[in-house]
Amino acid sequence: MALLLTIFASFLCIITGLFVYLKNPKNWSNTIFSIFALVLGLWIIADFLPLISTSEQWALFWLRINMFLAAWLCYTFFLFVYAFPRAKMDFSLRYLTESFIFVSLVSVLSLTPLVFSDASVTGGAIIPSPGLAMPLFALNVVLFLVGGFAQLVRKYRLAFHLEKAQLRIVLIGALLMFSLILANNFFAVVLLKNTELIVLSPLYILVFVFFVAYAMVRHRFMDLHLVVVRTVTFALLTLTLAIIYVAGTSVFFILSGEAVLPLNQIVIQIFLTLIIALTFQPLSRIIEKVTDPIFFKGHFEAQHLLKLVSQTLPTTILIKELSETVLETISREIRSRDSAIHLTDRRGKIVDTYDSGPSRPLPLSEKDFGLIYKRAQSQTLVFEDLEEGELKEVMRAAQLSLVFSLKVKGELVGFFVAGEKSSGDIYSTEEISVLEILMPEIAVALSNAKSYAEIVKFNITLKEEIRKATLKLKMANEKLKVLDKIKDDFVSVASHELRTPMTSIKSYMWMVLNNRAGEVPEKMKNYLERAYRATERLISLVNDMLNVSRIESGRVELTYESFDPVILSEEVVAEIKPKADERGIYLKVEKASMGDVFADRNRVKEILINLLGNGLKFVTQGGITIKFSAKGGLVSSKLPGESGSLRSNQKNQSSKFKAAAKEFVEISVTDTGPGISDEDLQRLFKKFGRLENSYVSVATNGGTGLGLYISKSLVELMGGKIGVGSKLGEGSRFWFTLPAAGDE
Amino acid sequence: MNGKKLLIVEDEQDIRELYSEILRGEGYEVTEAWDGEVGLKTALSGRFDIILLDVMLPKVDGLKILKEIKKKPELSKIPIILLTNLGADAVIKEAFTLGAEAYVIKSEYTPDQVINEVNKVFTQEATA
Repeated sequence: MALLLTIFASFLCIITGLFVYLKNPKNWSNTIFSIFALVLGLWIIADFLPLISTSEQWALFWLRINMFLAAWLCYTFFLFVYAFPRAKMDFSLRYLTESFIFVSLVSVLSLTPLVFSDASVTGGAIIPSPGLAMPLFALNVVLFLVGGFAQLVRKYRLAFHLEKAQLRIVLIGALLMFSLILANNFFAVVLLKNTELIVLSPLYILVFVFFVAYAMVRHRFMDLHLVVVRTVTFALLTLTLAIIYVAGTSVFFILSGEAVLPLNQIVIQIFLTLIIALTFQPLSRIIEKVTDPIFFKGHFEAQHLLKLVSQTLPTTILIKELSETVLETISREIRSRDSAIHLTDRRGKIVDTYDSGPSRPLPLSEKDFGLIYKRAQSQTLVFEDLEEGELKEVMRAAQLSLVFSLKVKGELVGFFVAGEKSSGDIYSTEEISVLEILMPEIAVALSNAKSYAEIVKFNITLKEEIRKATLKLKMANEKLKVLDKIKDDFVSVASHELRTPMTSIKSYMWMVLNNRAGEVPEKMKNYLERAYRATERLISLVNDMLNVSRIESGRVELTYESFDPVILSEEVVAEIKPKADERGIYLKVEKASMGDVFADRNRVKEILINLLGNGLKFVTQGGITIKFSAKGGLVSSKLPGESGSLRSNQKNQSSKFKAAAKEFVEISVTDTGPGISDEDLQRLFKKFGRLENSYVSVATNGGTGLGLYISKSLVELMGGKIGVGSKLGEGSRFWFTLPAAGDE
Repeated sequence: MNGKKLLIVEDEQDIRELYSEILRGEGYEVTEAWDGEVGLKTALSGRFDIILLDVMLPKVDGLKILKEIKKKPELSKIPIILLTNLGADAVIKEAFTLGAEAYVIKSEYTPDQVINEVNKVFTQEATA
């Protein structure tokens, strides 16, 4: 009896220690507690063994082991108290080492005659006699126990809530246990020479274990709450089974008149029963695993299906992929032969279908379909549960076993249908329930996928519309370009057409004026001369208009080259000289070595002709001087190809142009004419037109009013600037700049 | 008579007649053509010392005629002066590229200047 108790108590201790350690191996508190429990378990045995020892020597031996373990027991208790509840040991290494050495010393001494010198038999019991080192041992016990308890109390005071509750229990339990043990082992044995009470030690241990267990269950001490509960439940189960078995067999034997089995046989039978009870569950699981694949039945794990489908749903936003994956997953798990998802509009009309499994012809009319789906909107249809009737017939024909509706916010999205199971079984309530849980999730996912598909479609449509619109724009633009060209061509052709009769007029008039048709009287000559000049002006105007038209539509072709502006100026002067001489005006070119400019030679000639022509018109005495100077500065903001509507086609070396565009040559045309008023200055470079609310014309004295506008446009196209400075009565100074040609 | 044979291809009657008159006055033996087709045929058949060629012509345009004439090796040396009222530089450029000797802008040139231009060809030839 006592042996059983001892073994049981020891067993419990060791198991507890094991559980605690395994629960959280990395945690120091757990580890120390488990060591403590282990040592305690061993100590219980060692405490008992002296009592059944056959000789004094053996008794002494076991006693010594007892002391050895006791020393460690106190130490581990102490350590545990210090560590709990922290995961790491925060003891200083020095103390740890010192105390460890001390305990080792004491425990080793315990094995020597120094602690227990020997044992003697007194009154039937073996009593040990303390040796020289006993005080040391006592010191060990006292030191660690007292220290441990002191710390325990302190911690208890400082802790709160759960920890406090745990510590309270442990404190009481440990206090009880240790005091009882001390009373038992120490005082009774040493002082009263009574070893009888030693047998009760296990009980005290049990008390402690009980308290610890209570702390574990009630206050989650060491987090073994569940383990303890399960273990206790299990122990109760086995106990009950054992009792039932014994009672049952006993009754049987009594009734049948046979002899009651001897105790050891009963024990064996109880033992076997327990084994069967224990192994039933795992065994059935193994057998199930083996037969499953054979019978297709498989074990429907609701959680598994829920998890699978929930994981699948967010993986794709594409409706086809989503439907097919969901169908495949569900079919596989519930082992249906086939299944399908029908997407519908709100009223239940089928829009799209996806299926898994062999597709089968649906020999149903739309009416029959409608019947199924109308009913399915309000409830899940399970074939087996339906009463015989039209609906069931229809479902039989369609080979549908399950019909679920998919709804989002009460609105119908579609239907999920499944055929019968591959194994021929019916669907379990559990399976149907799980599917019903899943349907709303699936409905939402499908609804999202549908929305996404619509967005994609819309996007495509949008892109197509944009493409169409862009194409239309392009075509309109092309048309405009063509129109532009036509307009330009028109102007060109118009100018040509205009010039043709004018050439006739001018040429024949010239003939007459130059007496090729005979002598012309003075007055006639006078009149004809005016007409002739008017013709010239007309021709000039047509030319200017054509120029302006070209400039404004950006169809000016410039041919760049390097040339000396001085030489060009001299050329122009030479051409105009006759006219100037007629009026008694001088034309001067102030030579300078400026180097070349980089521009369109012909256009610059035009500009010079224009400026000189203007000068000639107004100057009555004196003359016109052309001067040159160098100008630094930035490139004109209007680079070729950048000047808004003005486009120029550079034929050569645009890079050269850009490189050279750091310096400019300024060409000025200064005259000794009457000068220009401030008012007129404003209007100079504009096209002929009227100022607002004024009928003052821009063109004066036979000019076309376009010359300066054209000159300005051309200068700017070539990268230069144009301007004028003048004061009434002081003449005028027209200037324009051209980029200097760079070094090559 | 200076003996030079001159062909003028010009559809505008006034101009053609005026230029013919003044050039005959200068001593040139002037042949007139009034459209491109006639002009081309005449140019290719006859032997001329100089050709005045308008650009805008009915049936065949002046530049094409220019090209055709220059293709024939026996005719390619004949100096050709282009008459035009088109203001496009492109036309002028192409004319020179094709081998025109000079060009006259009818609305700009006085009859005097036209004569000069024609004479210039032969004086240049003489000096060349």
